[in-house]
Amino acid sequence: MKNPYTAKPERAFWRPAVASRSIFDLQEVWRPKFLIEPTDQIVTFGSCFAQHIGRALVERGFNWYSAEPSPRGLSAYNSRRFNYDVFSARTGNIYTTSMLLQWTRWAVAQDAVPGAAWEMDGRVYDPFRPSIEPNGFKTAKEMLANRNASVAAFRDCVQKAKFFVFTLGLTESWFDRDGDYEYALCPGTAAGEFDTDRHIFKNQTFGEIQASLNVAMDLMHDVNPALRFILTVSPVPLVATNSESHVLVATMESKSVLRAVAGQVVRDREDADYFPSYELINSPVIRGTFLEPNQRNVSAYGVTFVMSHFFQSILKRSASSGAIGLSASPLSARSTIEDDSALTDVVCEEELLEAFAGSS
Amino acid sequence: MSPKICVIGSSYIGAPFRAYKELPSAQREYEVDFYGRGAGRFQDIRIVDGQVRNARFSSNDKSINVRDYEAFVFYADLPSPYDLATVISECLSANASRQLIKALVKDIVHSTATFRVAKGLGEAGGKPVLLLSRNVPAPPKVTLHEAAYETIASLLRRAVTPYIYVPFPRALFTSDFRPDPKFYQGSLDIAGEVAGTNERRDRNHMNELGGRLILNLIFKNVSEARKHQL
Repeated sequence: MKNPYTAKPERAFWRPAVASRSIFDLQEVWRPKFLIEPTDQIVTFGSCFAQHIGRALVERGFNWYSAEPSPRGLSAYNSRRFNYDVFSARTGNIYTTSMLLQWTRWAVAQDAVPGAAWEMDGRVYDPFRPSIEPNGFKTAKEMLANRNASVAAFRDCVQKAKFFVFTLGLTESWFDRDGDYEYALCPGTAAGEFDTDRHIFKNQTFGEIQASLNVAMDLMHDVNPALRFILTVSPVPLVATNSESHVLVATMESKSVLRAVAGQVVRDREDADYFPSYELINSPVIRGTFLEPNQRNVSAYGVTFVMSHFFQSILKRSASSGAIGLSASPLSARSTIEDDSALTDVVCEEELLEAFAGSS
Repeated sequence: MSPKICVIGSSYIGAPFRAYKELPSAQREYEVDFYGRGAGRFQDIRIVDGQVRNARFSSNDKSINVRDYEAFVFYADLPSPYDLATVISECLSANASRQLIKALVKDIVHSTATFRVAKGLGEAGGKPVLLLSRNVPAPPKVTLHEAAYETIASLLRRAVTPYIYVPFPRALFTSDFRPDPKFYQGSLDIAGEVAGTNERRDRNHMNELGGRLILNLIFKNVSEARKHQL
């Protein structure tokens, strides 16, 4: 009896593709839409998990582009402290699609970069990159000049990259009512002072997130028509929620909305693909195998597991297209982990919220 | 008997060594032992059990006992004011913060063989430890002035703490802060001899006149450091 399912490949069926396999033997979880060559310039932005992608690209010999590279002579320790080579520009974590749109509008000069600054203990912090410097800046002028350099670097990334990898992280966000801009974090957490009248909480809806993402991608596309997007959803749960829900419920809702937006945007656009890092960590099939004991952080093994799927899929796509020159060999999980003791040491401003747990 | 000091360095030490040799004994405020290795091998120097190893002079293998000296002076690969001016100007053009620049200068200094050996010496009880920058010709794009030079010296001073940074004297430079050629014509090699064919082109190694300036600088700063120590 013929029906549409009879023509479907094995990966379409749960029993052979999942139930009868070890999680380490899952195949074709991602089938890349685009051919990605090691020489293609790739930039990475987004929430904490995106940091792993950039690092893994470098390790595998791919052309990860940093528009704000670490200054010559700066030690690896200080390079991390000052957030160099964490993302392709020193934007810090971009948790929301509206924040991505904000950075994009600044970069394409559609919006002026605001002069907003936070002060704490005589130092000045950037509300859009609160942890970018270990002790903030000396003056607002210095901070603003530094931020403008990062805006220019972000633009440089958009102009030069072939692939823009963006990891969607949060739906919950904080806006400034007077300035009409979005903060990277709730004011009063990393720095700044919280003002109930001025600082507006917004748990963004599917429509809002989708619209921001599409507009940001369109603007970037205007600057660089050849640019392609790879979207991912961070598998890392919320540190804290400002909604009325339990943090577990808020996390599931938030990630579900982000996952649905990513799926919709990829279906709607030819220039975008989705890489399932979220599923590879959080699917019930995986049983939390790759989470640290706090059930939040992804272990180094988990990162390697996810990135192995990423690279194997790229290689397979490359082989099937007959492309030559792909020599990046998948590393074993063991060697990758041992080579990078700081693998799980991602820079995650959101974790600052944990400091406020039980403080009321 | 004059107190003894130890000068450890790369080929730069040839000039002050020659100046020291030419100095009448009566004018020798300090007795100085010079130990050096050419720039490429300076990093081989080690401090083991309170002794400096692999520091040679005139091909004689010698191990220095830290306790034999009143002060140690390093003159090798510590960044020059021009090196740092170049790095700082790159940082400033990228709108880097002052905090980052300080961290960067410290990282550059701490990655040098000079600092590593000085640290080993300091930990082995050799005090005081003084550090000079390396000689390098001024790159064409770098321009220094009094305030910039002072800022760089102060950054270096902070970066080498707890050791003592000894900035080159103003007299070594022309009015526009280029190395004054009169101190470089007829430059000397590590053994204090006129450096063969490179002599005309070498703006990296000083002659005896420059060596005299450096030697006086060393004497003056060692005396000050010892005074502070007392």
